[in-house]
Amino acid sequence: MLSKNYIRVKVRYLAPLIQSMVGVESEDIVLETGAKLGNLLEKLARTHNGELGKWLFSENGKLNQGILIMVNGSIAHDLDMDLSDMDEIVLTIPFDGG
Amino acid sequence: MVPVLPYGFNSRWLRVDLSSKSLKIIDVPEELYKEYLGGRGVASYILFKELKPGIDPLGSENKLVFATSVITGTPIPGVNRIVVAAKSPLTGTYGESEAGGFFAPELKYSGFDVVVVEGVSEKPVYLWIKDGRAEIRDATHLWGLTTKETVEEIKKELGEPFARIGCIGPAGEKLVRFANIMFEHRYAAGRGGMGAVMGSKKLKAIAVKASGRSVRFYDEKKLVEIVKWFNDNWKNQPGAVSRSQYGTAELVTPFNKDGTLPTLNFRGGSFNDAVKVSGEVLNKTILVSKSGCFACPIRCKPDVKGEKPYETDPSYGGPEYETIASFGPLCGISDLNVIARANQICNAYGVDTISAGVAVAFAMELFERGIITSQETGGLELRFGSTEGMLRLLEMIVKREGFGNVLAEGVKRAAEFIGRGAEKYAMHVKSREIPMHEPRGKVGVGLQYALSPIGADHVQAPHDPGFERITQHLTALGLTRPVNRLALNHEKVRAVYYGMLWWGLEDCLGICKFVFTPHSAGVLTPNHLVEIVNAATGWGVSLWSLMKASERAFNLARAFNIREGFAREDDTLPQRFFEGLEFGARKGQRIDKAEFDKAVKLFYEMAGWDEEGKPTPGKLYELGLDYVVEELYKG
Repeated sequence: MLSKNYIRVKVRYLAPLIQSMVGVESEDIVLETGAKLGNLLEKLARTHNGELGKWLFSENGKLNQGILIMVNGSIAHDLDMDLSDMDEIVLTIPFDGG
Repeated sequence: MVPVLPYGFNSRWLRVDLSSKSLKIIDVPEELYKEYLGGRGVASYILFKELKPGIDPLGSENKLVFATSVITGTPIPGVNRIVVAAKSPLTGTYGESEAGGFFAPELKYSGFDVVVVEGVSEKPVYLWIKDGRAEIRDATHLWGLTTKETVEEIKKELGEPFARIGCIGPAGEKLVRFANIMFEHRYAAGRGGMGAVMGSKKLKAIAVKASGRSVRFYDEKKLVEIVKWFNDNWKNQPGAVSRSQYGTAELVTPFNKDGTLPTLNFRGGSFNDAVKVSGEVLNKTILVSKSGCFACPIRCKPDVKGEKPYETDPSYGGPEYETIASFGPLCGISDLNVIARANQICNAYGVDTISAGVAVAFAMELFERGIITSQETGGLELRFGSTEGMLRLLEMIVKREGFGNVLAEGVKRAAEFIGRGAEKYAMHVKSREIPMHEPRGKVGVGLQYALSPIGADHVQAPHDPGFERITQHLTALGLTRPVNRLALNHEKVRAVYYGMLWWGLEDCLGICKFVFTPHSAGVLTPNHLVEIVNAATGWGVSLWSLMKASERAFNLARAFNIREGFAREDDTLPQRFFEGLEFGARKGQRIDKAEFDKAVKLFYEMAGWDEEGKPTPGKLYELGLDYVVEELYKG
């Protein structure tokens, strides 16, 4: 049971390439209450030997356009988006066919 | 006076008349290249101008065009595909297919931008092109050989181990309506039956070899700069790296989770055993190495070796996503070894893996519904999931044996022959079998299936997820508002329309759909393409003028189809897509027919077509297609 100072979110890695970097299909991440999507991504970037970090952000610190992030099934356009307890975040490569 | 060589093209086409056994080299003015660029542009120009409406696609009057473009032969990765076109024996429409590999640059280096083959030879022949010269050679001894045997025999006979060869297999000889043309027996110009057209002409193969490079480019330094930029950057693009590691097979898992993996003849969108046929498992099991195309470092093509009893030869290449899905989930099959074997049968005999897989799945559904029985199938129990049934039926199709002879006509004709309500389960648009992308979960794909000039095709425009968030790459194309994947509103129609012009431009230039954004695996941008064309030709074109060239080709292909009698009612989808998915993550989801029809009408308006989908004189004049106005509006 988490204290009210923390939230737990589920992160799912959909793309095989990302799964191979992090070694799991999904994981639970604990964040401070009030955390934003950007905070989660910064945390993920520091973990997994920094492998994921190389992909998440471009050189100017912006989210890499080659990565697609969905929060509770909707595409996230804004790193300032608030996260809540039990949110599900999907990290994937945008597969658009072919 | 010494003639000044142009930049970017040879200015020479080879015209081959197999009836009279004559070869003619013609000079082509630069203006034609400026207006049509190559590929689809040139092919649609030739076919519209030179084919009479109503001709038999498998008769002597059809013409088969092999076209490069003004950027073919540059060192840029992914811009070296050959475009093959003719009136399609499968659809009766303008037909076109593209293949990667090495044939296109070799043809262009050998001195010809385009080869047009017409007439019919009395006996089997092949065409040998080397350094600006060509000859027609006897191929009687090659008739009946598989594609690999053909390639090996011709190389041996010519003493040219590095010749590049496009050929047909026995299926093309037997006029299977979805027979393909194989290049080096692993790169397929797969769709629409171009191999059957080649077979009808008794043309077994075209072999090309260049000792050097006949063509020159305007700014070679700039081209090298772009290659360097590509090589420095592609490993920073997650989509490109993923494609390099997993090939297109990477799509199986995400599509399955998304509920858009066509399963059991499009009854559902998820497959319980999808993981067994995924790119991840392929890499861990049957993959032995990777291959690629001319100048491309991504090397997305798998070489596989199947395990007993389904051994396969890695030189045929391995199954890519479309093949995995069509012989796997679509037929209820979850064994990659079996799928790899089916892929090899298709490549050896020369048939399109999509159409073949859909034909087998169609037969399986008919069998399970009792519309056909084992009496008709020659004793085969064609249930979903039957590996032996699938492989045996596939062999019967490529050899036109028994019930396979019916399916070799494509699912539309087969359904008409079978009757008893079979048409309801024949998944096609304009007779061309549906590719492995479920439009009920990405409805813009349904629009491109319906509006493609070549029948159902999945590489006419980027798919809906690509329009859900606006990136700088979409902005370059003038798209600034995200559109939900399930929307069928004016925003979606616009996105699909612009998308079709952009990917149509790639077909005019012989470009791989994976290399340029906004495809998720893309590295180069639309603005890079402008730089590439200008560096190749020195013309000073803009993205606007290139898109206009694409629109010109799109309208030419449309006009070709209008002249053949295609109309509004042909721009639709199989009824199944207007009904709910039976199972999977998107169970119950369907496309609303009234909304879809409205979207098609809106597309016409955006394209400058009338209510029947016929390009208006105003649109045609705007594109400089005066001769099309004269033809479509005569009398």
